[in-house]
Amino acid sequence: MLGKGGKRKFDEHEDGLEGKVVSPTDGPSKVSYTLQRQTIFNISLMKLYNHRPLTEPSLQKTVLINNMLRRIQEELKQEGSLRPMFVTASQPADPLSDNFREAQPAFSHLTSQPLLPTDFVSTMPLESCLTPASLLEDDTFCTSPTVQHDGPTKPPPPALQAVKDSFSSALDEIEELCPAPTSAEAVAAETAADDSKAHPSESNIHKPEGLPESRTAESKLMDSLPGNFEITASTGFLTDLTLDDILFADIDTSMYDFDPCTSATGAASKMAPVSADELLKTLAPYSSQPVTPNQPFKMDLTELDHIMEVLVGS
Amino acid sequence: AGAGGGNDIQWCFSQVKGAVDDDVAEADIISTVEFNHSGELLATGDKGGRVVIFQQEQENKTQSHSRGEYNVYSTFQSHEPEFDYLKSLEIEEKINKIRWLPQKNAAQFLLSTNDKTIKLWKISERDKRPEGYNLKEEDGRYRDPTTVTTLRVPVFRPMDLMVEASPRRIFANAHTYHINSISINSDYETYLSADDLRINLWHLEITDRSFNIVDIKPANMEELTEVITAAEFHPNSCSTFVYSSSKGTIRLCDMRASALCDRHSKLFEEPEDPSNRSFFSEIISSISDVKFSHSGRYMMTRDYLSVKIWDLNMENRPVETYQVHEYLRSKLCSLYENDCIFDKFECCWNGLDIVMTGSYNNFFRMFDRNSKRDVTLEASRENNKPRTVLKPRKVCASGKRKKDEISVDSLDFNKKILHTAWHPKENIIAVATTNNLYIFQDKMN
Repeated sequence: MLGKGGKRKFDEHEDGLEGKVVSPTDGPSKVSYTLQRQTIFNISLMKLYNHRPLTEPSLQKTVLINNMLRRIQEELKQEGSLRPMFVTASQPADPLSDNFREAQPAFSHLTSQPLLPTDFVSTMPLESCLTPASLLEDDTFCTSPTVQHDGPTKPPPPALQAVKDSFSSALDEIEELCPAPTSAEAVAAETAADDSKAHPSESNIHKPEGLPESRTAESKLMDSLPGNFEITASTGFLTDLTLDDILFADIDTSMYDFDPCTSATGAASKMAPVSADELLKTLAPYSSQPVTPNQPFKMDLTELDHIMEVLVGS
Repeated sequence: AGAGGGNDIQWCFSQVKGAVDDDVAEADIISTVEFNHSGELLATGDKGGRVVIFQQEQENKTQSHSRGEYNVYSTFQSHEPEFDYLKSLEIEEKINKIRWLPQKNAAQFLLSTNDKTIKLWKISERDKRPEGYNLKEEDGRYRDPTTVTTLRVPVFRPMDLMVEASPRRIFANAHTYHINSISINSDYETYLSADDLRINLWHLEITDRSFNIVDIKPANMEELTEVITAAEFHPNSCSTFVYSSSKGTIRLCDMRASALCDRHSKLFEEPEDPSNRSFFSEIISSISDVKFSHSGRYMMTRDYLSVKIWDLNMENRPVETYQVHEYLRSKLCSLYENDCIFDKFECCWNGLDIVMTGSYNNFFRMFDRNSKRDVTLEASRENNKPRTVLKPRKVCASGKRKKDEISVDSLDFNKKILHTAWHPKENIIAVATTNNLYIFQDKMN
């Protein structure tokens, strides 16, 4: 199809400069391996599930993307990342400093646990890649249909009331640590804080959950792909849901089967893009920060460290 | 066909076919290009399911400085869009491949295929018609028999040449997945068709039956990690064929070994270069085309960044590797994002020692196996004076861009040359851009 791979113009100003695009002043000059990996993971998911062709999608392409996802998931599994983290958005339009090498994870020396988002990946467009708050809660959660394959592996959210208090308290704490987070960071921080504050006792569920999650996630993934290829290629978006819908709706719990041995049902193919705007509006009451939608948020890794320490309850 | 030892060929623009506007109609996108066995005919297939055949003019002996031009000979609608009601999906009419049969009589035959159905077309000429029927008028109306008083024998009289294409065989319902290759056996009686997971063997005369000779579908589709990407019969050995995969392997199979050739006789695979490993290693290793040399001693494969020549006697690595556009290696993530990394470039031989393949920005590349020299040329209407020698192009990967070089970031990734073909006997090449067909010849004299 035409329209892909738009012509890139030669920048006149770069005459005489080295051809490298990344300037050393842009924050970290080398994009981290994990960020790259996460980006590719996101892109891969989008490719599989955003596509609504009138004709059958190419099996070769599906298989290659699938393999890519599998490999990344294997890697994540091996690295033993268990704590859900928010998705760090990448700027898709940038040349993503494509110097990918299978180097050692760049930040393994910083934390004992690598800060890796695992299966909690949103399939929303990259620029609004904000995982709904509910997804980040350990056990309270929702299957926000936003995430089609990992959602169903978690139990439904209990009432939101218990969460509110921890939101504000955690938020205060975060605000102290991070003087001027972007709105999205605040949201993400809140949700992460909420995550551990509200249910600290349940955090140890994560460890055993980690493996079954990724397995069921994987099997869901596999299930939705080549298998479905033969039957129907019926992945599609549900209508846009606001966070309210997700949290307070009557949730069908039949999909949240933790048994890693049962292969997932085809329900995995549902998802809905929750726009960052809607999300921020919903969470605005909990935040004393002014909500400025559409502000791209970059997670500074040192801030991430701070938050992690807070959450781990050091 | 090949340049005499080591002389570089100077390619000149000869013709361009197709619409001039920049606004490309989707149906006009060329999807396959193929010369017939004599080179007199050149067929193209497009996304709209049409086949257009060009015929080379007979060489004018007085005009020794150019070979005959190619003009439209026949156009016909080969495939129509269909609808698969079971899956609620359209079946594209796009022609994936055309393969010519060798000529046996006055008519020409070719196989054309879309994703699901292969058709055998007969292209025949009519340049005479019978006149002087007793019972019919010249315009076809029947005469009243009572008015016939004398009898005459109808005679053939010349008429304007008419080229007719008629479907002689339709080979359908044998492929669950999308057909990517067809290849006619050297016995000229059978041919194979390959889809993502299976390869079937057909007899040209028999349409209601085909034999499955390769099946790589796993029992559990969830375990599927590899698909068939291309297949070709050996040019001389009628029991041998090869097929390539999305993991960069080529398997050579012998049909005499067993009915189902799931076990290969040879497996060609190059070990991965650890210094080049990346997230995209697998995807860029996926082979998009495989072609035997005319002798059958060598085969060529095309993956995303390179062309490799394999000696059939050596399985563990190719004998030669040519980089097509290595400067894209640092752009793989963006190319993954915009799907360009899945583009399927084809490649072709001059038969022996020069190989050709396409790239982006309407560039195409040629590699001379003897001299080890390579050249990048561009298919564009700007160089369209006949007998103008094409100027070699150069892409500047990094650093200071020299005059006349193009930087990687200026490349137009929408302008891709996926399909190229080389005349079987002469230095004439056909290069398809998105919707135009360029014909280049070597400079004579």
